[in-house]
Amino acid sequence: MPTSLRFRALDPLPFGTRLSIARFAFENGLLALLVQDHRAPIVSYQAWFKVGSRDEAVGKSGQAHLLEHLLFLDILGWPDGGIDRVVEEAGGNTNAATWVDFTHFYENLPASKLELAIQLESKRMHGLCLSEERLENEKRVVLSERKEQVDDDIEGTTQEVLHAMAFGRRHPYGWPTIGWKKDIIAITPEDCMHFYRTHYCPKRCIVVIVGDFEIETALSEIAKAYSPLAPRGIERLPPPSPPRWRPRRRTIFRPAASPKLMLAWPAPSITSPYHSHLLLVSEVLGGGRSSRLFRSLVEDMEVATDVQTHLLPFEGPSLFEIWVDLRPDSSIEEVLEHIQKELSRLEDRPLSYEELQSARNRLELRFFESLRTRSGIAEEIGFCAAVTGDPAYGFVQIERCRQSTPWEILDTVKRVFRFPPLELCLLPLEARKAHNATRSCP
Amino acid sequence: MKALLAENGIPLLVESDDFLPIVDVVIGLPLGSAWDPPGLEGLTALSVHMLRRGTSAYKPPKGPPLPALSSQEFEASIERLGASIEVELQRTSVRIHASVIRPNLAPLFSLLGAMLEAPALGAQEFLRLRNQTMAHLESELDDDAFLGTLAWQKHLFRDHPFARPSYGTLSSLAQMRVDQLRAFFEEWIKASPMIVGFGGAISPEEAVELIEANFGVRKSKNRPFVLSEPPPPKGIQVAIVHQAQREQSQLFVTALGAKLGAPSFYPLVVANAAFGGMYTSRLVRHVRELKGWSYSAMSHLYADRVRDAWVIHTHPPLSVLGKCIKLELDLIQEFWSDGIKEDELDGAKRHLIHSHAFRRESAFQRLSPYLEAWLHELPGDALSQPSEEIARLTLQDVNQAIQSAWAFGHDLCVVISMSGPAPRLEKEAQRLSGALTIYEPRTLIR
Repeated sequence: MPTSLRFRALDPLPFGTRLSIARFAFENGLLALLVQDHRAPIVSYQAWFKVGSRDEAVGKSGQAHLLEHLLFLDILGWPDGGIDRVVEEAGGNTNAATWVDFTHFYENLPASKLELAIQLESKRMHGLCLSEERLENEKRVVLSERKEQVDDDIEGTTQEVLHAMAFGRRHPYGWPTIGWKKDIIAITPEDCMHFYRTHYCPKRCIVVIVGDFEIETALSEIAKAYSPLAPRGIERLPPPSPPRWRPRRRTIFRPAASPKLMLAWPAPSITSPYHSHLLLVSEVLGGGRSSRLFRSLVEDMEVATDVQTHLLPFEGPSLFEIWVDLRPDSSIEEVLEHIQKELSRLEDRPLSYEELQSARNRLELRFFESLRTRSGIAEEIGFCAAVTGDPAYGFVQIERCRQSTPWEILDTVKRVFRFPPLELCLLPLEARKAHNATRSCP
Repeated sequence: MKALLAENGIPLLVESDDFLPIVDVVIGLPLGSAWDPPGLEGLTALSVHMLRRGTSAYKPPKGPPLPALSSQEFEASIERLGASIEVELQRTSVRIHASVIRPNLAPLFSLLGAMLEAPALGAQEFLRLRNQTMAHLESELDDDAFLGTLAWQKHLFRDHPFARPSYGTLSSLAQMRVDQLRAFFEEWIKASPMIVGFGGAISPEEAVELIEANFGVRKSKNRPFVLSEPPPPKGIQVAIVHQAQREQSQLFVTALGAKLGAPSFYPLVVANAAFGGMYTSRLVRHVRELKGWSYSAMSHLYADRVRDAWVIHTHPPLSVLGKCIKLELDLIQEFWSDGIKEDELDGAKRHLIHSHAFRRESAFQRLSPYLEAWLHELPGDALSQPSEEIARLTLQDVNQAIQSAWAFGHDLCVVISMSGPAPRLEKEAQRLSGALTIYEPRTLIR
């Protein structure tokens, strides 16, 4: 007779105007966030773990991501062919993602197959049986992924170099989530099992279900399926502290068609109110074709083919980034000078009501667009719960953006852009000779 | 889903769903890059992207007049509304996707009306867009998958319009003039029938009102445009794109694919799912799971109003490239000669039928099969019941479709994007005993 976990209901949370998140805390530490949406006979089941690459040790980068791969393969009690086969045959899809602060797994399934997802995910948390051969094979797959997404990818390369510059190679946000090549090669089965046993525990796990299901049935299935999991595991360390900011310029050479420029400034955690101000600033500078930097660099000056701005959604210290893809014959100095001019304009004058409203509207549209599907809703809830502690944090941010005044934003702009940025220039290989000649000039 | 016809002759599809306070709109035109005149590759792309580069003053049939807007004013107006517009160009269709927060739907429609009925098509903006497109092509030299795709399209489709690069080449763009673009707009875009799909927080009545207020009369039939079936490839063609200093290759193995609405369409969809369209398919199992040679390993079946392409895409490292090519060719030979097995058929059918609900999850997705059918000149419900069509298929149906679609040794095209010294590239190619072409990347966009 299988045992069953006890659980207690926490206060439900509204999720926008149409949905509500029912919350349940299980005795072993597991948290379940359940959202009923009966518009279509499907469910999205997601397991969010508060473990990411920031939980790795120096020299062990890539462990969290490699483990995510391995957790699709040999799990005791899973049918032959692993999770992909059963989920695909049930008409669903499954995948996972790892980043600095989290790892998550999901199954999108017909509503009648919810129990299957609960069974699979609960076994994933305690059934890994790892062979040396399987590990070596999966390391080859991850090295292939690394080549595709980092070594042979210009944006991937610059991101990796920039983050190492910003945080330092020994800072938990400074090493790449996919891992340094030499670290991936050196990972042993013992490393994987140790990481798995330490971090994959109920109190680090949030189960999110969105779709067409009955809450009582889901709770009863979860209570049975997760009952073998004892309340073990260590408390997670708090997010890392901000590194000492050391602005500098670095130039790297790669086989690229045109120069790229990346700039970064230190930014606050996603939970800070200033983060919302910077979301609006990011929209104003690079959020669309009429944004200040896109319009000037791409359309008016015709010195770039693309401009993007990013604000990283980290639980700990974050970065505000500007990426410019220059035209082959454009000058990096000219682009830098212009960006500086735009930033000064931002610091000198508060945003106009019209520009601010335009940025708010665009953020709002993008937020709602991400909620079109059940998996989109589940991902929003899971990410916010795992990284900010508030499953409805997306709505909090949208509201903060609506309430932010031009003067508050100006204040944040002054705080952030008072730091000189990190500058990373990526130049085509052919430019190396000219660059060296310039440097050796007296 | 409601299908309606506005007074001005524009058909509408409306899927009302007020769960989110946003509305998605798709304006579809049944023309695409295959319409490019030879030598002017990229003309359709430039023409449809010029639509958002400023508008002339426009007096819509029922709404208030709109002043002329420069390109910047137009973009700023769109973004101020909390809206986005994306122009998507395919070989035989154009889709203009717009999304907007509900309260701003009406002003968005005024802008969409002006965009399609009265684009400025100014000479200065034309030069700016042409230069930007050329600069973009240059920056794509970084993208191995893009270059590999240009190469396989060229070899697979040869002198068919599908072989031409949709965004043109540096030389075709350089010789393009604004008067040619204006003539193309008048002849094809302005004269084209169009369909408008609405998904989200909108009623059918509101949708009809918006269309009648903002758009003029449209014809129901396009001028005839003859698009022949692409000829089958003649034996194995090998194209190598020589990229400097890469860590791994991009390997494309391609053949002609499917034709939408043809009797073989759904059997080939099932066949592709079993071969390389699922994580548990043959290709993924052999290349990724058993060998660990490539993180990505998928096959894609493309379909259009004539046969499109079937594409297998993997990224093996250079150290195992030869072995990986051999493995993939063995898998294809076995697939084409013996077909798929009963358990593979069951798995693929179950997956495709059960996953259908996910392809109809949002209001916008529910419109798609009707919109696609209209754009490809098929009966309205031709693509709306895939689950029923797939459920009916037997092993014999699928394997017969495979055998009549493909013959090993005759229909293949292999494109490898890789780096390395020339003798090594040639050595890999010689193993395939096919006609060999080696491209320097720039020659593919020149």
